[in-house]
Amino acid sequence: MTATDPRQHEQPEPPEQSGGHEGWQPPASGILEIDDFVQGNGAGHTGLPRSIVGWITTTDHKALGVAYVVASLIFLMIGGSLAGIIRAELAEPGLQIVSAETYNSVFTIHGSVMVYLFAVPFGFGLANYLLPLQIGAPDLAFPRLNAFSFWLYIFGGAIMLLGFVTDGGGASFGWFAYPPLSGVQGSPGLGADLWIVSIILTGTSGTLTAVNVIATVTMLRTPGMTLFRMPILTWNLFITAFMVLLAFPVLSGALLMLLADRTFGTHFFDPVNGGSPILWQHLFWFFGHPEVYIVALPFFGVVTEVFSVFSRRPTFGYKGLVLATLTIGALSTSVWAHHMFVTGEVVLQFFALTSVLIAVPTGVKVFNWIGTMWGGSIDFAAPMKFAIGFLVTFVGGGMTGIILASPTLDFHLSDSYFVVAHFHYVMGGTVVFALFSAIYFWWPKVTGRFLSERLGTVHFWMLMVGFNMTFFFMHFLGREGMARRTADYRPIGNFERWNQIASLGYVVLVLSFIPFAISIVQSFRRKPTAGADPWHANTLEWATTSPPAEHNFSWLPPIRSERPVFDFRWLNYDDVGASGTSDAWDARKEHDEHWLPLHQWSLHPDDEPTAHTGPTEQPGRALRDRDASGDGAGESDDAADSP
Amino acid sequence: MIGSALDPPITDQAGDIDRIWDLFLYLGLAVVVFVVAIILYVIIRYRRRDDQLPRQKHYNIPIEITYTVVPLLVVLVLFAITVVSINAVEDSDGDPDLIVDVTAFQWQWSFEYPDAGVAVIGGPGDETPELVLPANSTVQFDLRSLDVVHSFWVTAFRFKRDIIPGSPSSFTVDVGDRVGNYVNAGVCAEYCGLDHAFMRFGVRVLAPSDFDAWLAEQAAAAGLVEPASGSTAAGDDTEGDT
Repeated sequence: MTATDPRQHEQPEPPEQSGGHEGWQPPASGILEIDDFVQGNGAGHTGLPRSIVGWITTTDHKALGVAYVVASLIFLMIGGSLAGIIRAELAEPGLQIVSAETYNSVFTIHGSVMVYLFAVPFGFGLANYLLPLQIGAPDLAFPRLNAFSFWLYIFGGAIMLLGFVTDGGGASFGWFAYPPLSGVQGSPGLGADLWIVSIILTGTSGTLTAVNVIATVTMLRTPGMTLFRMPILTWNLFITAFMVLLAFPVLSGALLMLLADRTFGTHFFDPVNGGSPILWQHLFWFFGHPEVYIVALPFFGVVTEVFSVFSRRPTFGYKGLVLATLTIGALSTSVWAHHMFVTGEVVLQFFALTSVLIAVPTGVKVFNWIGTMWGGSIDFAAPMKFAIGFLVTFVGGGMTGIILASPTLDFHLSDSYFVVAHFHYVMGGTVVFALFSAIYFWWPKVTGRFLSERLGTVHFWMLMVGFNMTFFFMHFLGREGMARRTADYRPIGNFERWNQIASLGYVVLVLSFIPFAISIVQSFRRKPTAGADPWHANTLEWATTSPPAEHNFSWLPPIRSERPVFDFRWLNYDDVGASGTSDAWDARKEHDEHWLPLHQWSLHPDDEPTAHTGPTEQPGRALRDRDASGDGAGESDDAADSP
Repeated sequence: MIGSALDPPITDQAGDIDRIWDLFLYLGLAVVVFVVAIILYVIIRYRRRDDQLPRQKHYNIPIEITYTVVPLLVVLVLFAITVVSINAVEDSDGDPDLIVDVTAFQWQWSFEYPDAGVAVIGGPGDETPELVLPANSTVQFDLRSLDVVHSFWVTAFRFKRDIIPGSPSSFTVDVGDRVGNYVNAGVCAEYCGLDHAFMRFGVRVLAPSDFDAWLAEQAAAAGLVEPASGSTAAGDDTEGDT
């Protein structure tokens, strides 16, 4: 992906000394290459631990980010394999492959793995790897807490899967564990207890990560990175962290109550002794609906970045988009009872209103994304294909969401395959499309190598076909009366045919991962030639080597908008950045002189350290690690002037 | 294609729900088609043709207000329709002509007609119980569960109600004049353990005179099993038969 701009007459002279542009005059025209400014080319190091002990003891946000992503993809494979058992069993009516008992356990662990161990932790992986890079920080605020969160998550996940080898098998009460079925009489096995403990551990892990994200965003933004210059992905991760703080402790509390019911003989949810099963449903869905947005928001952030980069346009209506995300976060705490319309115990009108209202900020996002592409110059590289796939899938899932938000219709559709189709569109399809968009987009940053575009195209179309084959006809199944979570179904109408299409679609879906796997293997055989900014992207993670060195940055561009790298790259163009006048460079230089000294990574080692209440002491550490002679842990105001 | 597995709406409320369904479905499809058409237009019209930097447009307040307010109005209209329809669904033609006590237990149903002293109880195995209703009458269902959460879903009613142990609930429908045997109309919709998938029942709507005859016949038949005893046996049997 190299741009040869027709307006570009000459290549800019590279700066004499990389790592700063003191004494360097900008070229009068042309675009700047980020590679000329970052120190080193990234080749020869991965920025990641090299030994098993290194991986176990690392507190580096990039290593943990990669570990989160890899672990969540392994859980995706486990959850996906369990889905294979479900689709095999439902390929024809009757019980052929597994017993009803096994089937119930399989769909329970499938849902639990996908929701608790795959979708949310993948978002945390993005937060780990990208968030510090996007705000110009050297790491998350609490690196050891971060490592602790990760290992809690791994142990939690392992404990859930261990349920399969206990007497009585894994938990089999569905991923929302309604008591009394999840009580000690309904589910006497140890697998159920392991499931509860597992979710408490992963929930605690998520809560700690949320604390970390909030502390990082509030305290570690690099100078110039105001809140409204943060990338949308960072914004979404920030808002997600607040939702996690609201929702996860409620779930952990409810799970502790359930565990107490099961093991200590309390009666919180036991109707025989005056407990209230409906209380669990309220507590669970008070977590459960924000959870949906906790899953989705990081992926919304991903596609926002991708649409902008591959359309070469700023995010359309940036502030409106942030406001929409905040609105979604706020509304998501008051829609939970739409999962309980059919209990007859909730105020239908109130929750119907909040549920349809949340469609408005969600719709705003869709129009923001379309507006970003509108008038742009769209490059259909693999990340963009998957992002467009996300958008189409999301619009479809959003529409069935409006239908389900109406209690009148929910009376019929609730707990049917219509709901299964709906949430696989909004939580399965959109997540998987945006996930691959993210992987194809940031792969060059993380590895320094590209994934194959050709295989990416094959992967995209197979996923598109497989996904829609699997889940589209479930809408009809649900509308015509097939209940969810059933090992068997009546051979009536087109039930058999639609289930067969779904099972066939599952095969296509699984096969679609093959080109992806081949692409990964090929990629590691290539030389790392991606460079710092292969996509000509927007945000600060592209202003460092690929992969980034430990503590991330040796240099930062001035931050004057939400697209500092873009602004820097297209410096000589009208329209770019905040100023469109002919003396844009002067304005920029003035800004640099004011702000760059505050970027401690930009310091010349000779600079005098002075007292400065910078964002953190950590950048000093970065400098020290990189350059043994550089003991300047502070910065001076005239750093840019001294050669 | 084979015909629909969904039975026609057999209550007045189900008819209302189907009308709302059609409205939402076509409106929703229209919106999906509209948005997808815009997406297709944009990605074709603005595909990359050269390496020019496109115009950098950050915002357009009037357009942003439009695409906030218009969806807001649309969902408020849908909400208004929903509120009216909730009222219609919850409204029935006055006092019930018949009360049916529905008891759910792992993993069967019992339907009692307390006024007539008649009970239909699902047995083990393939025996699906049948819910028999009179046409052109208002029927009240009193629901209770003996063990875990179940959900009483009659697809021909387009309606279900969760049955939560410890909190009995009830709802009323106006059965219309569609006399017939709807053997696939009844399902337990809330996952309730091992044999949840097989917790099914049929629905049969009889003309009022036929219904009275059926009720008399059942009352006359001897050897009625009390629902409580049957349910206890099934409820304890958690390992169950597969």
